[in-house]
Amino acid sequence: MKVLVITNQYKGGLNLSLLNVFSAVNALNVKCDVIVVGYQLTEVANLIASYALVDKVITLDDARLSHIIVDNISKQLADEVKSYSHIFMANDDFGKNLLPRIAALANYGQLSEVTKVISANVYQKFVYTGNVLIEVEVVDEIKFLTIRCANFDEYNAKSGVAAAVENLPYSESQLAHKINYLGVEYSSEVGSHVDLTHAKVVVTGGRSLLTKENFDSHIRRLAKLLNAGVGSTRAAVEEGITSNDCQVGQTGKTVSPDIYLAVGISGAVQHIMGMKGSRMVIAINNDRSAPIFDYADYGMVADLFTVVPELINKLS
Amino acid sequence: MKILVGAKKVVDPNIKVRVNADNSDVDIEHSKMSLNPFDENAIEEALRLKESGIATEVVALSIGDKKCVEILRTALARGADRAILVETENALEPLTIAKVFKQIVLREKPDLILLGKQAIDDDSAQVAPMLASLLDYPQSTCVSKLEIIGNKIKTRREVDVGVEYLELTLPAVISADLQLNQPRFVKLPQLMLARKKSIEQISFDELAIPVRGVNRVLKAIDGEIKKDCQMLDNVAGILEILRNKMGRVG
Repeated sequence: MKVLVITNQYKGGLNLSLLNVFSAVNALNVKCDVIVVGYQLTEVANLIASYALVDKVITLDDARLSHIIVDNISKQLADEVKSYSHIFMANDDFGKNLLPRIAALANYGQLSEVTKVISANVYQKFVYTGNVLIEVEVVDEIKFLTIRCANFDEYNAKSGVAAAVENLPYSESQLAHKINYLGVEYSSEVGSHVDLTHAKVVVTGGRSLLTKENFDSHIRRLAKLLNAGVGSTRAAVEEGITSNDCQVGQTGKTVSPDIYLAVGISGAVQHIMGMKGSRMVIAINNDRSAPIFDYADYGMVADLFTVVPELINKLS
Repeated sequence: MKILVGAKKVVDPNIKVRVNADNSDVDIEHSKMSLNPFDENAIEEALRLKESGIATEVVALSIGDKKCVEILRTALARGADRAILVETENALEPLTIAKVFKQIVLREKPDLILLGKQAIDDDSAQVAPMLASLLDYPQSTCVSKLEIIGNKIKTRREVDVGVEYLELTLPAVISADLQLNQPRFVKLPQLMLARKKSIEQISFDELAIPVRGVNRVLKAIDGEIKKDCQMLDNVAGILEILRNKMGRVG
């Protein structure tokens, strides 16, 4: 058994999802190599090398990778994976877009969104919007797995002796000529506030907030006071109340905070899929029959436009 | 310009799938089946490109058993020009699906392949990137806006930190996010007319794609975790719980 993890940087530093992936690897009782892709990686490579389960860090460090286009690195990585038995990535943008490309080029399948590592061959994952959990035996000789980070704790064991760091010279794919990167628009919510995916507290509001102004003055304000990430629902996104990057659910992000405060959320199955890993759920809704209460530890039947201002007032 | 769209048959999103009595797998044999919601967005976008005069032909592809004919009929009723069914009774994994798509792409030579970003049954989200890499075409996934200018396609992608803009040279593989558009409703007369359109059927075996070992489902269990909700009467109750869990707040 030889395990490889592929990761990138997040805003110049460690991509925290790597620590969730490490926990998945650790469940196999093995160490792993880590390939980190990006530009100016010395610092982050040394940090990764300090974790106890890391055998070796390989950097793919090049100015052309300061913004990664997965198409340009897939072929080179498909050559690198051949000496490994397991390839792990997080279920973030980078993993979702890159790993299937590498797996296909290496002529292997992939198991997406693993929730639990049972053995070297057997993994658990959700299907049908989280209604069913299946245990799957992966038959491929090289196993390609993305990890549903919300289901794994952050690994934090450090080693006294740092692992070796090697550099792999970047060889750009011909596809690079067919892709022109035009830029990223960071959502104003992200960056100025807590990263939703790794937040310890999440405050979520839905369509019942009615307008963006209400959402900002209620949900965002409350979240700020609690130093929490801000979540929303697909319906709220579709009505223009929030941007898409704070959507929690099957088609959005998956979160597993210590506290999930659901404000005026009905609890559609697609939304539950994204927050069911939360350790404690508090729900506020004016309808006692809302499904969200079935997934909550604590609930309050009340109008959010009364309760939230009161909470904000008490916390200010 | 020709567009190939994917049309996967999935259990209807409104149906709650249950595990079977011996926990060996899910029980979907008698469930209502529908077109994968994300594929609806892909098809809608292809049709809009045709209606705006940019695309000339929209071809829908489904892979699976005979019941996929019904799924393809809804694609035809929406306005697709042709439909192809690659027929197999076996459940295929994303890599094999991507290989089938590749063969159809080599035959049909579309300029654009539009797929849903994921299917709502297994949420794998693998076929689009796998197909792009097998074809050596550029990819843009989770696309919420697109524009075609000559032989280029400009896309807006929904990513973790916000949105990313990419311009790809065609042919390319695009996967659709729900934000891409609002799919149209299918009207009954259109559905009736679609019954008259023929669907090209190709046997999976004809494509001579090497059969891969298939992952085995060892166990299926109820994934729903319901909790006993303790009801609170006032805001003070909520604050107390927050304080207990977080330490000092406010």
